[in-house]
Amino acid sequence: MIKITKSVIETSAKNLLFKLTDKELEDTHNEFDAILKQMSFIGSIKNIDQAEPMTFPIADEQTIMREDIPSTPMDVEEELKMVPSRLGNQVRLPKVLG
Amino acid sequence: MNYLDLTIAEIHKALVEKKVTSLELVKESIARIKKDKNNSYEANNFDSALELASNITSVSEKEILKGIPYVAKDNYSTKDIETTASSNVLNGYIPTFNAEVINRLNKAGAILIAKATLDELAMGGTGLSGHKGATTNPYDNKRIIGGSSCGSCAAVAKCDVPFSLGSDTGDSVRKPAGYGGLVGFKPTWSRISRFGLFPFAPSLDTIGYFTRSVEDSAILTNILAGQDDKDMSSSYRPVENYMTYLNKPNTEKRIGYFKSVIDCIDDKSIVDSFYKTIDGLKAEGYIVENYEFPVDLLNALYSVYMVISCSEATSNDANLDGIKFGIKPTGDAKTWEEYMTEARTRGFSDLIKRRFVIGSFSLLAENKDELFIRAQKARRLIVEEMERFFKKHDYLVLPASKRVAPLIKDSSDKWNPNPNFVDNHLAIANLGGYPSLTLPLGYEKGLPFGINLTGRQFEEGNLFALGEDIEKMTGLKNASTVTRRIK
Repeated sequence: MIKITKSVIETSAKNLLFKLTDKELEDTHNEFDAILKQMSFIGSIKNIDQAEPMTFPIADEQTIMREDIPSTPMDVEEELKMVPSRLGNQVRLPKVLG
Repeated sequence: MNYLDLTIAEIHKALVEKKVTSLELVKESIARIKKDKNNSYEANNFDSALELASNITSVSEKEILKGIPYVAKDNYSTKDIETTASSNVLNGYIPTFNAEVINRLNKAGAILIAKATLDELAMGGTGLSGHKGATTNPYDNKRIIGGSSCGSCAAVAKCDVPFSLGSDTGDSVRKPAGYGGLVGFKPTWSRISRFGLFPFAPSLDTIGYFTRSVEDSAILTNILAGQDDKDMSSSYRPVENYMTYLNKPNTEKRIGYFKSVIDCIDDKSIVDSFYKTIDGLKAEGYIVENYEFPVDLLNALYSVYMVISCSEATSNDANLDGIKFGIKPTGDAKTWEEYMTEARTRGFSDLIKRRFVIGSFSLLAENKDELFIRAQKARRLIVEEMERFFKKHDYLVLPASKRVAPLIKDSSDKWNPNPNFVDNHLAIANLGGYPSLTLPLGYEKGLPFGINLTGRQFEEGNLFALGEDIEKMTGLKNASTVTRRIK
């Protein structure tokens, strides 16, 4: 496991697309002491590594073919009402290429 | 007595008998909401609610929710009503569709009157982290009501409405219900559609609701349960009539509890009330036994829940980027990364950023096996142990918390360096997808505390039956700050 450092936290924040203030960075770093201590409880569970990971609580998968019923998609104007910036009937995005 | 102080079933009867009108109920609800001193609300829907109510001239016996006002946690999409999940990143977001549960309540004639505040993006447990500040306990303004469904709980506890929608990922309905003296219920995972509920951790998230009686909780489950094509995780299992479990002798009588959890509770009132209830249940023919749940699994509950929920949240909330909805960056971003970074930096509180960093750290390629996958393995072992438990018992019964609502100054959403499994046992129901119900157990110095019941998947009806038996013993049906039915 990677050793937690302020640099690792800053990299994570960058990958998550937000910035941390110096205080947020300090608080997060301090909090990891408690986090890593607690995570060690998981590692100490008997036979933990032989268990199958559980991703969802319901085991019985259902495969059902739905009826092919046509439906009306959401109105374009309704959809665009919540977009912060639009150009005609499209979502306006920040310029990506020079 | 005002009709708004009654339960859903009692209000419905009064509406059928024309002793009160929906318009009178809505007007009274609005007046109370306007006087809110607990910071319980986000947006309101007063104008539409008044219009809907004024068009209701009669209510038939079958129209159990028609004309009755309610509030919904602000992480449910509501068409044309601002929905922020109490996060600045979603300020100004007005959904163009309703969550499925909102549609079902609309169809049943219930009247949405306001959106209730919450811990930001439903990721806290105190009710202190919403973007409008702390939500407090109507029983004592210096104390928390608990979270994340803080506003929904406060609204019902002080009779602004007879019921409210919350959501439950770790205990976000059932823990506050204990602090607010209410019935708080989460169904089996997949029993009720989550379409339109902002996801936090989808493998754990469920719809939930607050009421002031077990019967009312069964009424809502009858209305809300059932498959929905828009939620691919919703179950095709037939829906029962949950009312048929009430007002008759309960046939499922085997109760188990974890003495190891009870022994961690210092509050004598809670322990005494719990064992008194156990004795009462034995006198009613229930078989009650201690179950030795492995302590290493109990000790890991907090970490397992936090690692899984933070990891899932990190991924789910990647769409909160300021482009599709929510706040628009004000700076001069030159690239899409700069644009999203500005929106997310300004939009998320430090708590949310910390949770995302924890999730991201757990998902790093170098850490994933040791943290995220291992947490999923521990989840498997916890649930397998619960399956062994449910072979011998029909219910797990435990106090909902180790104490009454703590003071705000003693509460924090930071990662707890010394968690006690008595603080986290309610998450077992989320890890296993089990239905779970909290109801009032007693009061200490005027502050309520609750008892929690958890059952097998899809056995909601049995929980209501046991809950009704306990409700009769405590005499705490329709408890609230208004009725103050303190035993």
